[in-house]
Amino acid sequence: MNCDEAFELITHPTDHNCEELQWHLQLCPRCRQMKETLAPALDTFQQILDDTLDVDEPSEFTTDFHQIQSQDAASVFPQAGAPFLSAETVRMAEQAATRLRAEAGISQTAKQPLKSKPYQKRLMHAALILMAGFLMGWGISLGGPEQHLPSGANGLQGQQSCLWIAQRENGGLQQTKTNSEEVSANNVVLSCVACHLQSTAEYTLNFPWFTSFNSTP
Amino acid sequence: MLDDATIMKRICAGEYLLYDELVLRYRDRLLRFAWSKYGKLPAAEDLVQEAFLSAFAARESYNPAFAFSTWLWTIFLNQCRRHYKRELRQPREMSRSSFAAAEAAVIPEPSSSETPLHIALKTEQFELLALYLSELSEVQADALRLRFFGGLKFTEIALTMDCSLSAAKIRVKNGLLQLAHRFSEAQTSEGDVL
Repeated sequence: MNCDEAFELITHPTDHNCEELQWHLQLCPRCRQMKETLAPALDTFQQILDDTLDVDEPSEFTTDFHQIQSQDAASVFPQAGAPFLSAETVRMAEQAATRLRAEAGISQTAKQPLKSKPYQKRLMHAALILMAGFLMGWGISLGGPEQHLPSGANGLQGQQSCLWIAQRENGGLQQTKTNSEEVSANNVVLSCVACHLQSTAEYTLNFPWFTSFNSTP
Repeated sequence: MLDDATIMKRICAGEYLLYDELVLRYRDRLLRFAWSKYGKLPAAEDLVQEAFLSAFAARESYNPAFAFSTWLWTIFLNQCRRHYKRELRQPREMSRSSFAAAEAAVIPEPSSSETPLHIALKTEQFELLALYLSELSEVQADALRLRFFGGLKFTEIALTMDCSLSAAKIRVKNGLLQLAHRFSEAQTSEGDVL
């Protein structure tokens, strides 16, 4: 039992002397202190409630109901002609039902998360990623001026295959080193760009350094 | 024994007499609440009857998704607050004498174990508690009444008062602290007089 549960039992109308609480109070000086501080109020409440519970059936109020109805009915009930139950109170009852139903729905949802929720989350993430990708692509294409592809970019179309793979297939890096280093680096970058970017042309438009790089013989 | 939701279901199906069972289950607790709030038993009875009648009239809006007791207490608390606002427009002083008018009807029929002295002490104790409760803020006093006279759990108090669970607990705790302080003060002053 934690201190929060102990407080519930301390203020419980009937279970305020249960063994579990006594055990907790022995171990927890803070709750013991709290109970001692609240004792004057708690004792009064509990005495009244104990007395009420002790009263035999019919309850203490049953007699009062009959007495009042017979003795002073005029003072208990509204004036003649006035309806006892107003439309306003019925509306209040309906509003209370609506609110409680909504809150019950909320708490049930909170208590029992739907099994499909993780899938929904994943789907949402995927949609967001797609959306972000789309917007990025859109932004890039909008950001750049509308112009024809540079001549160097056209040359990329012929270099779609990955140079690294091609080199490996052709006998490794040794063979590549026989070519000029500058040209080799240029080819590597271009082949990577061709592989990894959806549109190297768009990339060229947005990154001028790529154009200059591409224009290098 | 039938539970509240089943009874309400059958009442909605036309077995109106079953409503008596719900009245018997909750009447005393509601009465104790209202009586401690207003100090007038006739006014308290009016409110209790009105709450039961409005719950019956709006029975079709009841849904087993929430507890009947919570619904009834919510209706009742709203009615009490409305009544309290009306009372504020016609201010009255809450004192022990405000119980006097209903005193003849208030004192319960003595059971075999109760002496007149015991009954008088019990009535006085209840009056004093009601008086001190009236000195607290309305939400604190109502939270205490719901907890002790209504026997509601903290979750039910939170729903009935339309507040968070922690707020319900804090209201009860702070209310009890103030009440305990008030009782201690009264005991001290009585000791000084003696």
